[in-house]
Amino acid sequence: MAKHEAGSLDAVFAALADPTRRAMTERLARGDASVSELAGPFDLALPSVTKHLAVLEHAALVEHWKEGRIRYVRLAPAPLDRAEAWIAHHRTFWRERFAGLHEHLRSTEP
Amino acid sequence: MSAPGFVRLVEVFDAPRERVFAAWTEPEQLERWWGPGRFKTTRAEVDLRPGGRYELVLEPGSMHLVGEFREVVAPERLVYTWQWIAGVPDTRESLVTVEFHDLGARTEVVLLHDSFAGPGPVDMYDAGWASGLAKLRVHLGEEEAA
Repeated sequence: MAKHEAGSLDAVFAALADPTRRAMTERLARGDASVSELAGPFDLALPSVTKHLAVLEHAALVEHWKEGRIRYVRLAPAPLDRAEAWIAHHRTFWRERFAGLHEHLRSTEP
Repeated sequence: MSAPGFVRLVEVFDAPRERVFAAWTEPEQLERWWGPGRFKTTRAEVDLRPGGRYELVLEPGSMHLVGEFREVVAPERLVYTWQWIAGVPDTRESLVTVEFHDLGARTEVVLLHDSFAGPGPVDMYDAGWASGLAKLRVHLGEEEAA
């Protein structure tokens, strides 16, 4: 798999040369998905999906994280978009925390 | 890679400053509000002093957040580093500055989360600069908002 340097343009082209992987990135562009959600429409066995994901991940096109035993996948922001993604993510994160703090302060009002 | 960017948010809470500051820093209170929605805070440890560390664990996913306090001025101001060490793909260290402005029965919180943590407190000269810049950003942001 490591024919091309991780994250290089060559790795990206090689990853996207495959129609299944192209379809997977198109699916992820519409929203994050668990690995089994991703496998669904392609009628593929999980090991095969995992292999495709490894190629996409090597190209730094997708990244995964785990919640409990479930593995989720999302499109990785391109390097140039990373700052914007960081800002958007943290803005949402803090707004949610603020909502929690409002609620907490209300419920503990002396 | 450190993505250059920062988030600045201003929020007014319906509680006096001491209460808001306590909610922000006391473990038993953090456990109640820090993990909203589907997440729960299962561990909160806070050593509230410059150089002291904190740890927060969110479930599900064992998302583990740690950091070190660089400034602690109760109940006015906190500066602390911020780093997810498990459960989240982005493990780079960033820096959070929180100011609690006294509005009597209410409190204005100005939050600045900078994606670049800057130098540690070891280098006092540089740390002074980093914190000075953060202050300046907060100040300038306020001017813009006014």
